[in-house]
Amino acid sequence: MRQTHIWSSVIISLIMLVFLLYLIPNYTSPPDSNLDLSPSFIPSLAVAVALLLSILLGVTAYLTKNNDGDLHEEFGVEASGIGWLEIKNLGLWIMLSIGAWFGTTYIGFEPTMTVCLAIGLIFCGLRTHWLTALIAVLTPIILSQGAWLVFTTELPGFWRT
Amino acid sequence: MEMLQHLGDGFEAAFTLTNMMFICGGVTLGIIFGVTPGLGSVTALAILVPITFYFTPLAAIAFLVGVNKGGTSGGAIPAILINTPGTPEAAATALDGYPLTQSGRPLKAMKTALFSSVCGDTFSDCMLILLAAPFAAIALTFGPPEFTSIIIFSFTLIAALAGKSLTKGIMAAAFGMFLSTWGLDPVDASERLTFGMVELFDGIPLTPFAIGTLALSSVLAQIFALKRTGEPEKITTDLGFKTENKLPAREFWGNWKTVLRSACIGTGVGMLPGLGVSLAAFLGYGAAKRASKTPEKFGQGTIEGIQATEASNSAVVGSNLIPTIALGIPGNVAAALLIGAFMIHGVVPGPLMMVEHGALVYSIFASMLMANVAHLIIGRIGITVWVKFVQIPKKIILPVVTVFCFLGVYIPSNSMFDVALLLIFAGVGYLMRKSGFSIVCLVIGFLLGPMLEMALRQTMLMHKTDLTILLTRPISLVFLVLTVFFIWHFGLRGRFKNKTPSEKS
Repeated sequence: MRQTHIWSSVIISLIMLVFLLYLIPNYTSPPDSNLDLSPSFIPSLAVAVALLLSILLGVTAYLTKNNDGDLHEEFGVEASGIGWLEIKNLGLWIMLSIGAWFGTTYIGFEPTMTVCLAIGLIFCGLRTHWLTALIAVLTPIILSQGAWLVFTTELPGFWRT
Repeated sequence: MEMLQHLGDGFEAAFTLTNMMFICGGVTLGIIFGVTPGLGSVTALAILVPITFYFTPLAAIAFLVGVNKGGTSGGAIPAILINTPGTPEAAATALDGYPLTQSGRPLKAMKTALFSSVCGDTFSDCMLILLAAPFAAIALTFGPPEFTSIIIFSFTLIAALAGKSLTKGIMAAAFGMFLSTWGLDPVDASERLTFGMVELFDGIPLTPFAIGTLALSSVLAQIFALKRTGEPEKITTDLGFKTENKLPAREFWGNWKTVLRSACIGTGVGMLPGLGVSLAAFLGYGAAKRASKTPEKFGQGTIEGIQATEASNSAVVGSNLIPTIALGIPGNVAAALLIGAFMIHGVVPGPLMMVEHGALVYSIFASMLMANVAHLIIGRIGITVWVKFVQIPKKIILPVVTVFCFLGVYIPSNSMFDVALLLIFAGVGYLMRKSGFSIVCLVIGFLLGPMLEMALRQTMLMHKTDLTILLTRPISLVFLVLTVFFIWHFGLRGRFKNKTPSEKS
């Protein structure tokens, strides 16, 4: 967790610096009145707080020999720190997300979700092929029909007008 | 007297077939989500809030309240049957629930959990009905400076109590607040961090943000964990309808003091922002053990232990709406999601809510009481059915839930932009979970950010940029002093105290 804190501190600090020095000044307007706060004040304040605390987190983690006591209660053992495995998992998620998003937008909900569900089920360890196929095919069809019948919402699909 | 009349009117408005169906549907779905491995009431609320866009305000809130009640108590069932809490707050229930199952009395344990849960819930709802209006009346006397200080205090309290690290809690809240500032400026409507995208003019929508960070990131983390460790074999539980599974009223009410004490603890915890349901459960359990004449029986399968945890964790559900309705500040993440639901229907939680939407508020109170009855009936009838859900493997549930998350975002917005945000926030949430940054703080920062900005800017405009007003108004000063105390207590003092002897030397 100590390594995670140090790396988190470095990465968050860099991101916050980009926001504070480039994005916020260039993408917010000046104030309308002298009495009012600038529209960039609250975003800058929030980013500055996050920046200062991330530096504090990094410095504390660097100076503290064993930081495992700082494991977060909210997630318990789930908060195991970030290593190569987590980065690999995130990479997988990004790839699947990009595929799912473009697939749904340009092909359609049912075919894309069938493929994604099948990948997800196999990834999770379901090895019964007929069950995988059944869930992967039926779930998107049922949900798509449900969305139309209950909420009159048509899900994306190139065959729909 | 006037309150009773309002409540009577509320019952009149809420007691319709449609509303009852929504309440029953909410309770049933809540229990199913609570019972199903890897899900829980927060996931249920996050996925179902956007769907209520199509309901009337009363039906929507009644439905979600039902989901929250059902989800909170449903988590006890897997805790009792397979020693795996369906929700974090049910962890304490497993301490005595599972030993009861091992001794062949699972039904008795589940009935105790259900009845205690309904008792705690009803007590807490009554407190909500009694206290919301007086608290809101006091809050009506507050001006922007007081609200600024109260929100700053809430941020600190939530950041300090939601996890162990105050630094990480405040960082997460600040990041949530920063994200809430994207979109048009609330005062002069100038563009702020929209990067020219029309979709961002209204800011980052709550639905993809909440579902992504709370629900989908949790599912994602569990999928990756499942890949690594595989699914543990589930113990099949024989419910067996023996006489030992009967729960005589005498035996249940013999511990009425425990139920009442735990309900009071849960109600108190729920009223304070950030304390959380799990804490209430463990506090209730600890208090019951200390007060018991036979503390050695705790942990070995006593129904008193289940009564203590279930009454206290369910009592949080009603009372966390007290700060939500009186101040617009959510008591916990479930209340934060309910604020989102209120806002979808054009109702802004806060002191003016009782004035502007008094009839709706009392109808919601009535619906909450009706939901308790529905919870009791549905929970009792369905006991044998809920057990089936415990047996569904995670490897099937988790991928299917990701599709539900996708739909939960797409259906109300019809926007693939929102779906993209969902996928991004799920990744962000996954990283936050793994590195131990509080997602509760992130979401509450996102919800309280606009309130803080508005209060601060109103203070500046009203007092000609003189911020010393925050120190000269007594209520504002009290909350600022409390904020400093909490930072000192949880941040600086905690750090010195936590140092190991070697570090000290």
